[in-house]
Amino acid sequence: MIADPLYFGNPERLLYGVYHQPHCDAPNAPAVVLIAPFGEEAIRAHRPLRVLAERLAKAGAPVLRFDYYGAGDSGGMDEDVCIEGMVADAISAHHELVAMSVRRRVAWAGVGLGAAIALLAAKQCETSASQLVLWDPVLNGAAYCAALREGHIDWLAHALDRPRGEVAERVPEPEGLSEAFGVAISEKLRRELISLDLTNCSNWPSVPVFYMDDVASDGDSEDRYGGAASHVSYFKTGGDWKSNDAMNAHLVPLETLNAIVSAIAQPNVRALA
Amino acid sequence: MRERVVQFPEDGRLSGVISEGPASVGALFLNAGVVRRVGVHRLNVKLARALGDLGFPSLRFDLSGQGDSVRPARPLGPADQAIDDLREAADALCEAAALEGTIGVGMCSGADNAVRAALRNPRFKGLVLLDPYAYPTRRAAAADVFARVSDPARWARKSRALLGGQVEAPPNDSAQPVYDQGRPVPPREVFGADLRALADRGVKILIVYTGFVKRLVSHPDHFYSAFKDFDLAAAVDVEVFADTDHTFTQLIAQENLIALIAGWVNENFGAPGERV
Repeated sequence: MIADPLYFGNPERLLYGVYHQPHCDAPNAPAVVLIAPFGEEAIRAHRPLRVLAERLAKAGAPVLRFDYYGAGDSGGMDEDVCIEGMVADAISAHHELVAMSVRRRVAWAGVGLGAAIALLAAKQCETSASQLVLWDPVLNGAAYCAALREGHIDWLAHALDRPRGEVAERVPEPEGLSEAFGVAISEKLRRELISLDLTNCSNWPSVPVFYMDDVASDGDSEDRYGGAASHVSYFKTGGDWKSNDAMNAHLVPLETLNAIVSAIAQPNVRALA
Repeated sequence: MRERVVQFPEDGRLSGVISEGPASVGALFLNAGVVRRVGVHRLNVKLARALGDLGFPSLRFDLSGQGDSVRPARPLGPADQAIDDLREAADALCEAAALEGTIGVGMCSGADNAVRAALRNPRFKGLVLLDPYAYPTRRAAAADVFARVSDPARWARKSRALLGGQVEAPPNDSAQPVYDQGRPVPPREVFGADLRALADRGVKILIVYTGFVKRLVSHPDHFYSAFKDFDLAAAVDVEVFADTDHTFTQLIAQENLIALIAGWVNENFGAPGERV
């Protein structure tokens, strides 16, 4: 595998990334920016995104995956992470990838909150992405904050071996949530999340969008996004990437990764029904 | 503080981030389980930068096949491969920053790998072990019983149960085997002898236990009691974070841990510029 780790971006806002060179000559394959989820989910998604990058590169696509400022190996601390900054980082990664790969078409594949970042960045920079892949997207920030809080309480109750109710009493409501799963949540990020609402797909960018979510997630997303707009395709996926068990496993959701590779590198092949 | 990516050895299969500093000893951060080199909750990055602020260089890297590192063409068994990778990493750090030695910092299985590597590599001058192996003692068992009977929440639950009310027990209450540390544990005599051998070589060791092993170690004396035949009291510093989970999820626990480790490293390996 040919993968080059690098730092890129503004010297005041250095981002860590890994560039995966294409393994074969497939000039029609777009370059691909992989946009990670938030916080602990980004650590859990690292291996699936690495394997996805390797598979896309094998199919002929140059790929850049990166850490947001304040996350992973990038500069900055937890408190520096905010949606405005994450969007700027995604656009910065796009430009870096265009410069390295010399491809004109660039697809963005975002996971979790990274999918929301892809949507926001594409709206902000209309000419950037030629295609979006939204994998288990976070579209309702307030609901996401509430889910982060619930997951944080569950995790702490288990890890500290204390009754859940006792732990819950000490964790602020979503409107005041300042940490989750070991990561600080700044006031700015919290405000941005609470006001984040991307559920109306008619407001999405008018580029092809592949919406993929887990069979275990919100049951009505297929009804809402399957055929809701001519440029949106819905794929039901399986496989676990963000549970506590997944964190300690080398396994990745291959079915989902293969579907993404098909959607991006072989767009004429329908990966999953 | 400047950080840069490094790939080593000659085949470049191992990937890491190095930061330089004036001190003569640097920290080497290990993977915890299969978590990438940034560590659980990015703890390795936070620790690296705290040590960097004190002038200590560091390298955080991924073992073969983990994180951003790739497997060698002919991999060894997992334990031997980890030792080999750690030897390469210690060489890379010491050569890049012109260091005299390194301090291995590992959590859980990372602690196990750090001990195994240090036993075979004189470059290791120090070890910071987070939840390494723990062993039962009568004193810890007595403390565990006392903690349980003196827990007011436990009595409140029992009272509610007797009165027919709804009771929410802790998720692991009595169900978790006392000795289950999520990985094979070597005999006490082996781990004690390993620590003794390292101490005899002059390796400075800090051990931090969390509530993960609270039924085995809830006070530093429980550790010393378990290894009294190895006389580790003067050779190993032990701290217990009894109210903290295995991965230091709460931010206050992370802050306390970082302050502890930074202070310990500074005290034992000299201030910036003081080449030991």
